[in-house]
Amino acid sequence: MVFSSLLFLFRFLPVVFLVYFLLLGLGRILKLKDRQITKINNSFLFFASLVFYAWGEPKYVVLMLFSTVVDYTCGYFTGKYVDRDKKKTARIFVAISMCINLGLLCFFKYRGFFLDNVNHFFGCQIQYKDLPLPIGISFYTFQTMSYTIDVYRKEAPVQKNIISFGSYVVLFPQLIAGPIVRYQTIADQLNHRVHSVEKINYGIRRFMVGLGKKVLLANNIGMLWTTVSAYGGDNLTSFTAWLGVFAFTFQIYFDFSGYSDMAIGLGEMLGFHFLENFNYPYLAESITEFWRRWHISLGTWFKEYVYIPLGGNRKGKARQILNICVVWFLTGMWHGADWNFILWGVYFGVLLIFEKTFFLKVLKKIPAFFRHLYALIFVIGGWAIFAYPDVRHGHEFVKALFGQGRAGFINQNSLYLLSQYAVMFVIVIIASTNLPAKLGKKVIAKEGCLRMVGECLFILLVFLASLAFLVNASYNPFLYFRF
Amino acid sequence: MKKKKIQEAVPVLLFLGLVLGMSLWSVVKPQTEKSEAENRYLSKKPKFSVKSLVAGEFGKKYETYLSDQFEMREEFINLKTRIEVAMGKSEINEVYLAKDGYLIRHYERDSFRKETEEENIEYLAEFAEKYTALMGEDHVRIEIVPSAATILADKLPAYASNYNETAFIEKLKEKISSKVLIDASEVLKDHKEEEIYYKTDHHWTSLGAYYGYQAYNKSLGLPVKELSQYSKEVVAKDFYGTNHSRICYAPSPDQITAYKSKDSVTYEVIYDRLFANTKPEDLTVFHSLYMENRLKEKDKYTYFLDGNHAIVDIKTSNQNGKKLLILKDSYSHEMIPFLAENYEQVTILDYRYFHTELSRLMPQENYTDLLVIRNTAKLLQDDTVFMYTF
Repeated sequence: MVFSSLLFLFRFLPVVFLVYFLLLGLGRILKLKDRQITKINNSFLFFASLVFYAWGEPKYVVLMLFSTVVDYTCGYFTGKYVDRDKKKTARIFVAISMCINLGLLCFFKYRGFFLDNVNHFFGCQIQYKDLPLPIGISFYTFQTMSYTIDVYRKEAPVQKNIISFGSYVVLFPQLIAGPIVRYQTIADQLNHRVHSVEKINYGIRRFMVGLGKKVLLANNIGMLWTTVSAYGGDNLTSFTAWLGVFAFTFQIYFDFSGYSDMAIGLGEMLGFHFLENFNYPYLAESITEFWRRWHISLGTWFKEYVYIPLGGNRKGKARQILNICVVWFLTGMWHGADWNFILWGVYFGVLLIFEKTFFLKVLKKIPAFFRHLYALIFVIGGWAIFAYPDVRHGHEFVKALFGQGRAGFINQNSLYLLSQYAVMFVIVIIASTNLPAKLGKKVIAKEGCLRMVGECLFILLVFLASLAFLVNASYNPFLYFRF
Repeated sequence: MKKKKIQEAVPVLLFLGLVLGMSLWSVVKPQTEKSEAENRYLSKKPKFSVKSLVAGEFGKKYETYLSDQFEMREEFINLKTRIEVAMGKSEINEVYLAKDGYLIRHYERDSFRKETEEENIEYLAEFAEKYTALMGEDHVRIEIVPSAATILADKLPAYASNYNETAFIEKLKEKISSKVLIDASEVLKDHKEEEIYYKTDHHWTSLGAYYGYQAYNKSLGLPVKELSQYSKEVVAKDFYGTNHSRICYAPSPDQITAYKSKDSVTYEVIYDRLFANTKPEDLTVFHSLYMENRLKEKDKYTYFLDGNHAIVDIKTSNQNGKKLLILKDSYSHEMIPFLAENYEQVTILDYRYFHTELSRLMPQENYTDLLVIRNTAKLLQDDTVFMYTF
């Protein structure tokens, strides 16, 4: 199930919301202890999240439950041995957890890619069955690994209640597309949560921001990318290719950050508080800064669990460069099982090394406008690599970007596409800066009625506009069966 | 403090009210059979079974059902179109929002199956050859009518493109004798300032069809009646056609005009005689080429000859021995009234709904004339044209 669907908005969300708060109220009437109420609510969230996950892919629920049991057990023993200062024994359980999680990830996500390459480079004929990728596997395996590691590092306590732990693993707001919530962030919240009208209010507004980003911005500018990416070399002028890659740049940002906003908003409604995942990445003035603003939870994960354990920058320049290479190879790999993603990761690794070694110092001396321009060019260049899992198609696209395509620089169709999306581009450019948020804060800063009316209007407008686009999603009039 | 709480709570209540209210309504509201505006049947709530749930099928069907049965669905789609128009779009769901309020369907090369274009040229050429040999060159005609995008190209948005129908017709001309093939674009282009296409529908208007009739009669060397010789009737003023259905939006509705003969020819019209299970004497005979009650429906175009039928037989009060067989798509419906009054009998076949070989039907009645009327875009989507050659 995805948030931006009628099914979620008009079936799942109302039921979960009602039952959750009914249970909460009932607990209070029966004068249960807060801890007990939270446990009851966790059980419900666990169950609801399984339904959420199972809707699209019922079979893989088993996989997620397996992962939950494994990490619960490993975490339990890790915590037990860490408490007794038997770090070596504890380490075995951390290793088991990592092997099983990474094993699942490799089997489901990278097996086909690996075997294709073995077949290609060694001329083998290894057959394998194509399995659909379990939804969200890249996210939840990373989350559960963080649990065992956090316990091992004593950064989080052991969760003794398997249902509460399970509700962390399968928690529906962040289950499918992140943010990757590290266990230590919500360890306390699993046992104790604060619910308030203010939080629900904020959560709803945040959810609306996300819904609008996804349905109104990402999907609409994404249509341009869909059009351009379907073009063959004969139709793909330089101009069109650039329009396409700009469209993709905004589509991926609004899609992904919109999803994170919705997750954070839903979390707030249910009393959780997740960390931010995006911070206006396209305002960055260097690649280093871009990665501090883009998919923050993934960057943090790799930093905390790979880069720093490898020695980070504490073991000399050469080692640091090696560590960056490892992290960025893995980051690329994490995004998908194809060479273009690895290339994309390595591309950023190289840029970051370049910046870390000397270029950041140079950047400081040039005007902000050029710093910004530099960062944007290379970020957008990255998306050109990222967008095409098919390397040959991607090559053709990059050639067109550099004016080496067969179709020349510009044609009538390029101008047509520009005319269709010019307004949309202005909208997404403004929306990707912090201007709308500043404006929003100005209204919110005003206490009282104006603020209330502003919030209501915002909710109403985004809700109705998004519905208009969602209702139309299946819209495929079958007019011609009669003609 | 209390006031602040209330101000925090109002937006929450608004959101909950919207979500809960609409959810509840969507559960209790009666299901709708058919969307008049979209002109299609809507999906209903799927039957639950463990098997379909595990296969993931139930989930998908349920989502389609939710979207199809959504309250005020058409209004929401209209809102979507309006938002897109406000954002400067002039093409939505493959419909151009063209100048002067025209909605024009957009086709490109890949809107059609690649092979169909070449195959259908071959079939039509084979058909022309076979039947000119059989009936003589003066008795076989193929009239090709281009779509609005071709004739009204000036009205398309700036830089907009469309499938090149003219090039397709040129290819037909290479294969088929210029005596047999009538290219309606010539006469339509001469009159492109007049209302020859509907603004909201993919068909030509009665006026366009009149020019189509003109081209046909001229090609046969027959006299052409002046427009003033018909009585012009506006039968509907609020027609929203198929292109409107794709986006639930139109700047203005269409009028449907019929040019009715002032002569005293009478008609007996029988629909689908080969299909009805009833005996021939039980078939309903209509005495008009027009169906008044169709004007109450969304698709008012079916006013003409009751829309698409596999086979329609028209017997007229004429006694001139002329019998016309027409192979067609819906573009013909408005042209046939102009033709019918000159014949003793007209039989209309639509091979998209029909599978009896032409060579078996032909000898049953001694047809004197044979006419194919096809719109280019419809022809390019049609995989039954091979039937013309059997």
